[in-house]
Amino acid sequence: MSEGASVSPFQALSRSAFAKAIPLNCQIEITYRCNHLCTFCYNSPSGAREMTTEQIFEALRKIADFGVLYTTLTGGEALCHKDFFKIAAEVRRLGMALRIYSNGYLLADRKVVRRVRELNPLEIEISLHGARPESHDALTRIKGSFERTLKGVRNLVDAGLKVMLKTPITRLNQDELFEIRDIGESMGLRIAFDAVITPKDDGNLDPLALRANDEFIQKYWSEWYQELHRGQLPPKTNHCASDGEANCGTGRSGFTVDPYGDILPCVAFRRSAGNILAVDSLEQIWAKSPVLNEVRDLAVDARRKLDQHRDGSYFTFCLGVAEVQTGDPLGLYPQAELNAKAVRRHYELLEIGESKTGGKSA
Amino acid sequence: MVIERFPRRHPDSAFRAIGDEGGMVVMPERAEVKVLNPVGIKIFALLDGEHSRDQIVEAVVAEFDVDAPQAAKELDVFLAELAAEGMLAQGETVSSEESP
Repeated sequence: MSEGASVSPFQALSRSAFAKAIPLNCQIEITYRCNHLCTFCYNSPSGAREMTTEQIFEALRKIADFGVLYTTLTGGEALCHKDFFKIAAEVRRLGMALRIYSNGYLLADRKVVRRVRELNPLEIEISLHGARPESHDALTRIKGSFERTLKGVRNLVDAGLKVMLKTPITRLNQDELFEIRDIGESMGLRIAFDAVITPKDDGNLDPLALRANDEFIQKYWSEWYQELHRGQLPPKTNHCASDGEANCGTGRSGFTVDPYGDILPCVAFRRSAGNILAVDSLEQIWAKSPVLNEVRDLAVDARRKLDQHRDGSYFTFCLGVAEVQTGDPLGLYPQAELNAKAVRRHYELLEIGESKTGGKSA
Repeated sequence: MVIERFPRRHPDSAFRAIGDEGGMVVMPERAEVKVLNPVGIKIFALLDGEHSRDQIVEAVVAEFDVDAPQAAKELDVFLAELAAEGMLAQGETVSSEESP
């Protein structure tokens, strides 16, 4: 009664869940505390009291009862929470698959990695900000963080854990992307580059000063992407979107819980739909929250709006970034337009190459 | 091969039906996700230690186009598969001994 491995029933079901707004994922920010000082970090702690460990347990029970299958522990730096291992063990005890987002710093200690191994996480995603200490440490503003993060990644790999590396592209590391890729590949790891630096959650635009320059971004998408990604084509849709009518999965495929217990449509779109500690069950809030319903409608509106745009088929567009940056969740922000134009150029160059060679080039 | 009378899924197994198209189950210990077809996810939801094997067969026959002997036969195969993958609670494994 299980499906064969050759077909992709998982994808089919995921698409169906997306269309029906059945959330399979939850990202829970267990603390804003962090052992790094990244200048481009989007977190904006309000100073309110964070959930206690017992309250996080309560939140996790509600999340599990709601039918969520994948829970991601993040922060801040999730491992900085004094009860991280108790919380992660509770995620697993409740039967949910566990993902961990970390800067890797504390994983330089093999004893910590052994404890992570015991949790059987689905995946651990580690942020690597450069190919050398000068760039990585400049971005984290913690001396020695590059070496410790790399050691942490090696420890995870040695422990047989599935690891993915992530690199937000900034003007400080934009010339090191191929070297960063090579570092990852030398350990057999996949790496995801993110060309969009977002404002802080409170609207502070300071992080944008660190974004890679426009000339670089254009070349990244239109000329270098495939080489950097070993032949992979640049994405035409958001990574969280399915093939449905919505631009992205905000308030649809999953949700985020911040350290205060507020339920957000996603990590980027930070409108509170209510507090998880104030409701008996997530069912009602998911179905009836005006915030979530509006956000889902906005994601559909965004797709329709982009479809009218010249480069609309090439957009990766984030409503949360749009709202913070332009004041309008449907407002086209410069980075999205620049990216879409460059991705379009990539596909145009590809077509020219194909017509010259009479076949597909990738 | 005889199945426990009141089979129970592993307590660490999160699962979710997606409409009437099937469902996903997180496999305990491995943090992997298994996809089940509509019959499979229906049965998995009934593996609560309270529904007997016969009651599960009845529920399947009532909802799907299958007769009782065939449903019972497929249920035994399915439970054996789940047991082999560690997806049944401890003590609920398929055994060749007579059940009480």
